[in-house]
Amino acid sequence: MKKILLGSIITSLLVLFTACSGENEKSSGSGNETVDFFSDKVDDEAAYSEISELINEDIGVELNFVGYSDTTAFQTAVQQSLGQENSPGMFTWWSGYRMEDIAKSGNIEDLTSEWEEYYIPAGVNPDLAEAFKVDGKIYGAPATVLYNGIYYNQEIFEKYNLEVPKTFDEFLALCETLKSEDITPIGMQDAGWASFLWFQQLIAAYNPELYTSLVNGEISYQDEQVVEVMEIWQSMLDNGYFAEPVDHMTRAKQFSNGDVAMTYESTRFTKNLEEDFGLEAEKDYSRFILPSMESSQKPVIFYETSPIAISSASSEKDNAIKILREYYGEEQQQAYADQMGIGFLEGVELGNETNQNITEKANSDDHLSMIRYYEATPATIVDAATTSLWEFVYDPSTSSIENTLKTIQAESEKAFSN
Amino acid sequence: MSLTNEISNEPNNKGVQKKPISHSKSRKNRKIEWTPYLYLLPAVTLSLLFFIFSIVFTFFISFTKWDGVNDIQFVGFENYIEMFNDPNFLIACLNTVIWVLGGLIIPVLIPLILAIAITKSRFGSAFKNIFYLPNALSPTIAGIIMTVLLSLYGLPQVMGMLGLDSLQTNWLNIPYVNTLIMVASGAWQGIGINLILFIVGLNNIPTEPIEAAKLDGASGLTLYTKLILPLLKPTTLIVLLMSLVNSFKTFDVIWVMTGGGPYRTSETLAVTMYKEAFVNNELGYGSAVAIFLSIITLAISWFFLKDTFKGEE
Repeated sequence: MKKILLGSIITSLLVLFTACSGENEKSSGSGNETVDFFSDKVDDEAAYSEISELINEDIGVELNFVGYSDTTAFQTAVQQSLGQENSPGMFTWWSGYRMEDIAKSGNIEDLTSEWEEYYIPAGVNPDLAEAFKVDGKIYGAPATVLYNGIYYNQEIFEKYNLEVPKTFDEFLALCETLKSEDITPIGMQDAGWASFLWFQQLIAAYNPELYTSLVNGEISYQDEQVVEVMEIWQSMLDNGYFAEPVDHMTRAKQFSNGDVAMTYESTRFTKNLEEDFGLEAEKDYSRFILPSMESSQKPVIFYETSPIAISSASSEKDNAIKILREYYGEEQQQAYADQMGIGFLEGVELGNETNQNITEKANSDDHLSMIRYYEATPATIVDAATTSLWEFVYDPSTSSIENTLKTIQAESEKAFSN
Repeated sequence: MSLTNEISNEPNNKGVQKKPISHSKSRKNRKIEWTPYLYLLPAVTLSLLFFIFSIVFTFFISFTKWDGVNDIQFVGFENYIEMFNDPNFLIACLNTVIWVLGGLIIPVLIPLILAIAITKSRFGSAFKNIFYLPNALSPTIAGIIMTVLLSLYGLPQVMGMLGLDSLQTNWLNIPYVNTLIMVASGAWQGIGINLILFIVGLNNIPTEPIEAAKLDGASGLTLYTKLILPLLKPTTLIVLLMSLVNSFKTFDVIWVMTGGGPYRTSETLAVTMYKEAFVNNELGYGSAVAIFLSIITLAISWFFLKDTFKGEE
């Protein structure tokens, strides 16, 4: 009987200990120290495995890539672990306002001095640091830089003798021609967040300064300029220029089949088109930037740069800092570019002509580079805006424009009054 | 009289009177009365840690504003007030009601009819396996299968080929219609387990009253409505309760098929709770929705269980 009692108590204590304790020291099978790297970009696993090998050869620390296919699960896993010793040493996050929340909590490392000493000398564009700045300090280092643009199906363009538009009116004429040929001009992704993509691009095409003022809360969403942009979007929707929104894979299929001629996406889309549908860059597909509505204005390329942050409380913090110092080595960045076809460091060959072209355009003086809406404005506004903008897309009308802009403005006032 | 003495003085099923336990022996027994509780200790510890603590903590943070990272701010009933003024929450309530009604009609009525047919069929076990099979799939996998089937290159494309152009559309993107489609998809999975429960219930009904009723001339629909269905009431109540609770907590199918969209029109309370708490990082607001959902589910469960126990008394 005593044994049973003892067994019960030991089991209970074990349960408690298991629940309340965590793993503090991690090492790989080879005996080397490892650093966990949480990411929501599960496709990056092969690239980071190669990078880990290269870094391990140099400093004897391995990178253990932990990819999450579900963004929400990823966010929760990171947020719940922050402040604890067993939190991942490194993790990807979002720049701008999304970064501000975790930076202000004091749970991630200030990397300002690391930028000066290691990242900028390694060739990282110092302008990228702006996206990771909170109260003058830099809290992240770029994992990737993705540029948004309009993909077009070259076979369709060739078949109907279409050319890349140089003005916004030419773009509208192009959509009209496609429509008359029974081809839906633009494919749309139905993800909950994706409604802001055309909103940001049309606002910036109208006036880049309007976009900047809007995301900073300096101008009302109900301003007549914003209403005018929404009316342009409404007429495009009414004219049937947009396909009905579908999931990511279906849209890629629509694009590769030629059921839609164009779609707005980031540089990451090329991997999807090539691996899943066998398309070839600059042969089957290419990309252009939406021209400005005013010829005197430069076209805007929106980019997203996901930062790598380091957890301050993590037992792996020191090794994580060491890894980031090595991460921008040319070999490491080339390994990433070879696997993913994307990159941002000068001298790195992307291996994808379409992505190479847009990266060069983004770095040229002919275009303006702007951080995309999702990161450029407070998260609460983005959450309200994405829902409301979808409501407008499904029911484009004057009253819908009014309601949408009113909802977003109310959230904007709340966010910027704090 | 103590429970121990009461039991010990009862004649056992062999009609033998047990000896009364002496006072000193009773005291000795009282010393080892803790033993059964210690057997329960590991399970209770687990429940306390992962269940009771979670409930108390959720209740606490429903009165706060917290993003899961920064400091917790106490805001009183603000989350509850905001909740009842939030159109998304009200849509979620309406969708939950649709799910509950759908969950009562399809996964209860159809399995009942099927169970009656199967118990009379010569190929009963084959049908049982066929109808139970979808239950072996996880709701997430079932949701993915249905999503692919209903995507533009699935069933809608077939409809287009048949000349039904108006149906060649993304069905899951039609607000409110998508909820009905998902209810049907969810019900397809729920039929199997309820069917088995009804078959077990029907097989356990004693044959004597049925034979007596038949001798009195009862047959067909009368036999079922006047005798078999009332005798099946305990099973029906359990199936109803299970379907109700499952409908209230429906999450996975919706999350996989529409994510609550378009523009949050297909969210149920469970999806709203998840979205607010983990997507929008409004853990306080999400917890308020969770508390509301739990209270509703508990109240309905209590209503049903109370009825069941009354029946047993």
